[in-house]
Amino acid sequence: MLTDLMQVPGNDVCADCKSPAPRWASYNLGIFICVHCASIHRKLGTHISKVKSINMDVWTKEQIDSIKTTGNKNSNAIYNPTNVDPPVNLHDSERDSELEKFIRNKYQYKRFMNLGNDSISRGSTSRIEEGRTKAREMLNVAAPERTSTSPQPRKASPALTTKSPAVSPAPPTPSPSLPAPVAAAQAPIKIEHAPSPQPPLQMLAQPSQPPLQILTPEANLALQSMQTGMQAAYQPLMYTGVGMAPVPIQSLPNGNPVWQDMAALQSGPAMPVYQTQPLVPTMAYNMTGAVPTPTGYPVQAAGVPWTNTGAMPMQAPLVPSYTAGMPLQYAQTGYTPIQPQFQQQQPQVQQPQPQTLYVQNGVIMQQPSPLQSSNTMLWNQMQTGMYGMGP
Amino acid sequence: MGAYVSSLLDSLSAFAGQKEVRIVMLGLDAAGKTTIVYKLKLGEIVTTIPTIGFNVETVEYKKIQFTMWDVGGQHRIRPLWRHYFQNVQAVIYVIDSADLERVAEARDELNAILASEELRGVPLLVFANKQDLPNAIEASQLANRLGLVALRDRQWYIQACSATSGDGLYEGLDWMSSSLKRRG
Repeated sequence: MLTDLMQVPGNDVCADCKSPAPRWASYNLGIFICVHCASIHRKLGTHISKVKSINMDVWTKEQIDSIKTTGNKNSNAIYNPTNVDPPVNLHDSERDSELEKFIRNKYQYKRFMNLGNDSISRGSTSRIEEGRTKAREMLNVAAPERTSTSPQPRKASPALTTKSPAVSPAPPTPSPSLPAPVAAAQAPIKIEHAPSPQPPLQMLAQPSQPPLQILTPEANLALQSMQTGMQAAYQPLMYTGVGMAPVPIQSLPNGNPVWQDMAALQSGPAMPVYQTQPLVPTMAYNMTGAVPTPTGYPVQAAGVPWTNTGAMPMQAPLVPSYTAGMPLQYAQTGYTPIQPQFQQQQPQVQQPQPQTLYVQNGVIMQQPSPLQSSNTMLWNQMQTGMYGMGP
Repeated sequence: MGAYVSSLLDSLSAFAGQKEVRIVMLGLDAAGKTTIVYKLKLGEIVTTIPTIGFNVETVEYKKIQFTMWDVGGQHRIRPLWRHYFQNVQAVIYVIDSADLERVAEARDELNAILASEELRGVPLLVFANKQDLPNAIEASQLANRLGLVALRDRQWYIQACSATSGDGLYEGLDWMSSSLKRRG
């Protein structure tokens, strides 16, 4: 049962931001996450993360099993072996974009995994080794497949084999389909100079995230893919994500990332990686500023007094909402249920009345009408928590 | 009396050159409904938390005021969709073109919606969203897989789009406005 899995140590906090009592999950990554991280995982696309709500979605046995076999601890041992901290203590709007960078780095670009390789080579082994061993144990079947598809022949690395015999050495292999400019962009950068993934000070000093600008390359690529059919979308650059600093992608676009990541660990692109296939340092993507930068939640950004988000109150605790540059539209008024306007069956839709809304978690909400029995019933069920969550 | 006032209001809004259209946006969870609404409303990408309940926004385009009701798509709250059907003049159905695993599920939900008496004859615009993602399939393929070609007694249109870039969104609204004009 899913509820039992949620009690497992490690699963009781969000796999990404560590906030307590996560109510969402990514079933292909096999982790429990909070609603904020879930919203970012949904942005990544289902080829990276398949997100479901614990109690608002229906779960199949296979999906539950996927979480059972992985779980937050094992997943973090793979994707974040050095325990790179998520961004903390940031303003709401800022935190979202920083968290998005963090999560994209973790699952889409897999930068923290390579940080683990780096640390191993420098001798701090214990926790990383433990994580890698776990990962290897979990997917010991994956090795032959991965090695057979490796585009370059393996070379022995004496230094590595003496230090860490468990890791089978392999030369760094950039994605075979990586275009030349991308590979060139990686070359000069050494991992030692990579700044901490924590946001630099100047980021904190900024008043807020600027409104998102669709960057030209991104727009071009998107346009290109629209115009030339979806073949264009299979270009590696598209896969690496819109407007981001290009990085090598180890996995194939179509596959299950977890599987391939573990397979990658199996084949062990270990010690030499940081020398000849250095990471694009985190500074690079900070400077490009190319990550789609969210501007907070829709309602905050809207700045329209009557704009409202109707929602059933089952979200996280109250968080004051404020988007810099815009007046604070809504105070926290507590719970004041209303009858949603649309149920009055008027021919024209009236604008909902703001006085009778309440704010929760920075989102304006409405309670469903008690007149609608199914609505109310569902809402009550959700209030009381679990019900009939699949097998 | 009420009818009289209503017709008076109609003629007033016609005089102002404004037409109001009520739209309900439906689709599986994480299809991109909320992102589309706020892209149209603000011209920006916002990070949207999963919608539990609904959002409502008005978007003005070509002298038509579209009131868009964006309803959460999580499995267990889909039974609530029908409460939003009354008096809608168009349905926008959003689908994640890259989530091939769930196309069948999306088709079944769409069929269930279209079977509703309240939506009889209401025009259907399908947004084949997330065309920027690597595994996205083309709109024409989706039209087949969703069974759109078999639809009778209903105007429908499928538009490839990417909510994050904005490509295709206004083309969809173009079709909708012309479709609504045809209906009168």
